[in-house]
Amino acid sequence: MSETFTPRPVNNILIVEDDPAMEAEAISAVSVFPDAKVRTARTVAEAERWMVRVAFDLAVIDLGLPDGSGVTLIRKLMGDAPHATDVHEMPTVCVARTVFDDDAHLFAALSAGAQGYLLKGEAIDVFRLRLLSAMAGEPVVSPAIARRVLAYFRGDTSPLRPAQPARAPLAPAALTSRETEVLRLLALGHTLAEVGTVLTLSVNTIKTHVKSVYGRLDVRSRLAAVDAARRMGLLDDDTRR
Amino acid sequence: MQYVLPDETHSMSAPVLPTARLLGAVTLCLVSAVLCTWLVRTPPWLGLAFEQTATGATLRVATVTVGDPTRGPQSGDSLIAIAAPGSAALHVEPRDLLEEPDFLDTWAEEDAFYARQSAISAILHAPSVTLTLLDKSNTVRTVTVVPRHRPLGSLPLVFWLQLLFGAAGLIIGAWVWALRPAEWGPRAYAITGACFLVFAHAAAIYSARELALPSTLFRTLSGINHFGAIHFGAALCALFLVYPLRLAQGRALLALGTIAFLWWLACVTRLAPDQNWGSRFPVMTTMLGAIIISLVQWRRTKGDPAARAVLRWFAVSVLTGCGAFIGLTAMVSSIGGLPPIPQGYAFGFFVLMYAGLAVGLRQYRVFDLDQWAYRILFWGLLVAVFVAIDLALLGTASSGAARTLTIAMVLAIGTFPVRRWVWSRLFDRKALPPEELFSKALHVTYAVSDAERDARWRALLIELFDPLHAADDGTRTSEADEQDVELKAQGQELAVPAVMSSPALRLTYAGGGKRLFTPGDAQLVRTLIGLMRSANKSRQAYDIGVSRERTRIARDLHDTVSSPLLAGLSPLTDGAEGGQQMAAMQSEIRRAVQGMRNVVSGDMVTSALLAEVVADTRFASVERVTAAGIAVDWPVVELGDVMLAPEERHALTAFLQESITNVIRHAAATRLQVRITLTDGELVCRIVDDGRGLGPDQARTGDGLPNLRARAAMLSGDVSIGPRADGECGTEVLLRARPGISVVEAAR
Repeated sequence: MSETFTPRPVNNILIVEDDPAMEAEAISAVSVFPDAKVRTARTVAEAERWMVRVAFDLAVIDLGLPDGSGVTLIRKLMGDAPHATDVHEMPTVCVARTVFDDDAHLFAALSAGAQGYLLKGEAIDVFRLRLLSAMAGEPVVSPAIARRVLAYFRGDTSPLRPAQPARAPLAPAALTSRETEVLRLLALGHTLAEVGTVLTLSVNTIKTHVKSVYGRLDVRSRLAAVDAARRMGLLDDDTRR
Repeated sequence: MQYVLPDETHSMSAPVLPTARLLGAVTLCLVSAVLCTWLVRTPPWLGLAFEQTATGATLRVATVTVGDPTRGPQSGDSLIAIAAPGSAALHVEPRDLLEEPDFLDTWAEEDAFYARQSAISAILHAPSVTLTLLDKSNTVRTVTVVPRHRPLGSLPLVFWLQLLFGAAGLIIGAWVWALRPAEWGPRAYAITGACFLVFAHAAAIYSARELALPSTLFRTLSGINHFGAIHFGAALCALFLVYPLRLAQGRALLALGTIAFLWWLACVTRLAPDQNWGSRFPVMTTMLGAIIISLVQWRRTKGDPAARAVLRWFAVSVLTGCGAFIGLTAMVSSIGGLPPIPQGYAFGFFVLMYAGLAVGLRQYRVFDLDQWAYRILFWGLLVAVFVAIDLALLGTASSGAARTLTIAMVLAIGTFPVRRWVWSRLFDRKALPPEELFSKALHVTYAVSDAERDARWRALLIELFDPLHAADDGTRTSEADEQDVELKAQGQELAVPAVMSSPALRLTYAGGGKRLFTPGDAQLVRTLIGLMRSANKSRQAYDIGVSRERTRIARDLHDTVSSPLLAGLSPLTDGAEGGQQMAAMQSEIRRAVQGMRNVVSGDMVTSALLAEVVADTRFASVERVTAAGIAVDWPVVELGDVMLAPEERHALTAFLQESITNVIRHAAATRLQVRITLTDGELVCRIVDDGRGLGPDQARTGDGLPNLRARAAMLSGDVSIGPRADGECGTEVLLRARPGISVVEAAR
């Protein structure tokens, strides 16, 4: 994953949102990128039609859509949208948007490849800030995510965490000891900068570690990913959130 | 370091249990003690105990055990001569009582000594013996005594001590060897123990004689004593040659043993010019050698502090023990003096060397042993004590009258239930009924945290099999490897695979070292693991069900509640007329949506680890506080396995967030310090800022304090807000609470 900390140019933005009020809020938020052309979609199908025609730089995607899950869209944008075959094209930065901030939702979005995460109902300033940091390549972190990722790679879970069946991890590579240490420190409540201080590494290095781990959450084949998410009880295609 | 088992070299033969080895050593000690006690009682006995007078001129009667109180020998009489009926009297010299013939310098002196011993011994074997005594009033008289069989009770303390010292050396040496039979250090150490027993027990016999032993017996015992002493020294050198670092190989050690043996031969065949060359020099040379080798060890262990700590402790206890003895006996006699204390007592110095190991074992991990090793020593000592008591009773009974026999019988029968009780209490294994097995498996599976589950699993295995040692296998860590339970080294070890969050374990020596693991044990562990895995699956199925249900509720809530609410936040309605009122309403909406999130995510209804709650709050707050331009000092600390109930979890989160929000909003602070500690179940949260403090106008205003009070009450605690304890400018919020149920309590 490339280390771009200066925001890349944003020319095309996709907003997928079924709620008109939330759509309006999103449109207002993406005005931080004044040169960009904004397209909106209300359903998965509509969004897919846009994705065929336009290479998006940024996509703000609601996870609960009338005809499916936004996670499917994120995965498509990250992996198999037609334009992705062009090697010079940078992949779309996907930002998931949902009402619920439990780590199960978040984890599903992250493993699909989302770069950022937005909570509906947060102040518009926070919304803008998160968009900017997603574009700058800042990974989303929290102790809860770190714990869940650790559990994922360990292949089990504490009984008090939301359900995730114990199994051999689907991700091929295990965590390196450095990655484990980074996640462990995050799980204890350290910020990225503090983790850097503790491990005497630059914060950028820590971010690279985190993103490298997130990259491996997205299991190799799409089939396995869907299977993984279904096993987590998160990703029924008939489930609309 | 992991246990090294001898199964590579002995894979064909059946494994020998450490208890069997130790039992062998205990048996050897007891057999030797019985033999010594029998030998020391073979010469006919006059019923007296002699001592040298202070001037060394005569032999004085110290105590009279049997004899005519008026006409027989009196305590304080001096023995001048001894005679058999119808033969010439033999003048008795103080030297006849010499404790140790090695104190004599030349072979000629020694021959003379043995000749006199022979002569006296012959007289003692006569049906009656005439003693010429000089009493306290300097009157010479003769007394005739009929020698009899020597009773156990007449044996002096120093005799028993020597038996005990020798036994202690062998048992402690054998103990270490029993647990580490394949390693050279323990082997050499055990050999020193065996040699110590040999020379101490041999000396015990001749040093406890009443007056004389037949010279053949005496010479033999002295030869045995020398054999033990010289080989002891060689074994000591060998010990430092192989421990802590291996400095020499088997061939060098063999050469060392051969030299010791040849030197001993030279001594007993009198090829050596005198006693100095025959026995004192080899002992001192080996001692010096041991010191030099330990210095080499010291140099070679540079940069290995653990090995050095072991070496320091070990060398100090070994060298002071042996050094003190040799300094007091061999060196003093080689310069022509007599030891200042009886040699029998001086043997006690050697015990230092063995006691030192036993005491330092745990701290320094000598021979890689740890506390668990004590159990088997304790077991060995208990066996020794029980058998020794029986032998003593037997000895008393066989020599005594009907009355003592009765007492002995009563004691033996009377103590039987006590012994059985002690034995079963300490060593018996309780079989676990199936229903208990099931509940134990559940108990392990449903532990609240991985660490706790791991601890319970280990505890269960220890309870079931009572292994001498249980350690992480270190090779396999994941359940996914699907390893089976395996018996290793013909049942000396049981390899238990990784289960859930517990790593693979290796149990060594079942039943405190007294039995091997059986296929039945392996099957039991398999059953347990199966039970635990299926219980875990059900739990996960339940968790998935909860999660699905929560998802359904979330979806419904979103459709019916949050969507309409969120519409109120839309920019379309933003900034409309009535601005401030609108903003307040939007803020309410945000709060409502957040509350809904909490309900759905389960924050309100599930328990959580204190550590996780603190971590989440810290993470959320640090960013917030830093963004407000306030420096945060909030170290992450260990908070154990305390679980917070849902309401406690909520209360603590809210308490911390509100306290921190107060600092951001009202304190005008530049620094914020948060300290959260958990000590003996008491949670202390201290939130300190360097702001303007509580002015009289703002103190206790708003909903700050009552709110925090309510939160603290939910946590079974109390809160105080006031100026900083250190007197600096600012405010300090202090929460003391006893939330949660500790895992330990929950397990009861």
